[in-house]
Amino acid sequence: MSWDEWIDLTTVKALSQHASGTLAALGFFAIVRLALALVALSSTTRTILEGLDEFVLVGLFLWLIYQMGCLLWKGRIKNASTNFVMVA
Amino acid sequence: MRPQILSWLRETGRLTVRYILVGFTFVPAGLLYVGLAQIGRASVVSMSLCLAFGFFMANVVWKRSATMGALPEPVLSQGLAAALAGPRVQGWAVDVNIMRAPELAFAQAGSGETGRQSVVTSLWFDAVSTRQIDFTRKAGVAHAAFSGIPC
Repeated sequence: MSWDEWIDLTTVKALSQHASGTLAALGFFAIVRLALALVALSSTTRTILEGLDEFVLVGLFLWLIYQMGCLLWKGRIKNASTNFVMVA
Repeated sequence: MRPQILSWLRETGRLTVRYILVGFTFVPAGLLYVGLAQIGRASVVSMSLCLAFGFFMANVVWKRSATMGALPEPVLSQGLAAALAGPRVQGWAVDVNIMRAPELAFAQAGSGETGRQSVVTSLWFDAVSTRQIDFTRKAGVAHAAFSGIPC
């Protein structure tokens, strides 16, 4: 099993798009969080927001890892079938 | 090169919106966990359950948002591309013909078409049914958009 079974140009492009999309989404949530931090909130709301921060961050990273796994797996299947047709 | 960069940016923008939606789906799960923590039920198990709930919601939203916005990227199967591209890649069409002999026999019996036509019909149907091909309408003429075809 070699790396080119898993990675081709299309997969690399998709991976870069997903990574960039996640970073942009994290930037969006950081801006929202900063905006909320500027607003005077009660201590209870602040505690809830701190818990939500971590959850959204962890959730997004888990989702990114899951999507990257899916992309790599799909790329592997596609490359395998392409090789089969080309050889046949 | 510029259209490729623009295409990359457009698709990344669409993905960003989808990831933002996914981020929002983890908010209810986070609220649930904060609620559990406030009643003294914070543990690894409850966190895992809340994350699993968020993951489930994210999966639903991700699938729903797949059809949001523009049409999916048109991709043509190599077999169909070979069948349509003409004599330059006719070898591929022959390969596909051999591999898909049972289906082609069925197509021939059903439609009365011959040889190459039935190859095209069968592969065309295959590509359309598996959503590998997409149609755009320009100047009143429906045509298939091709990408990644090494002719």
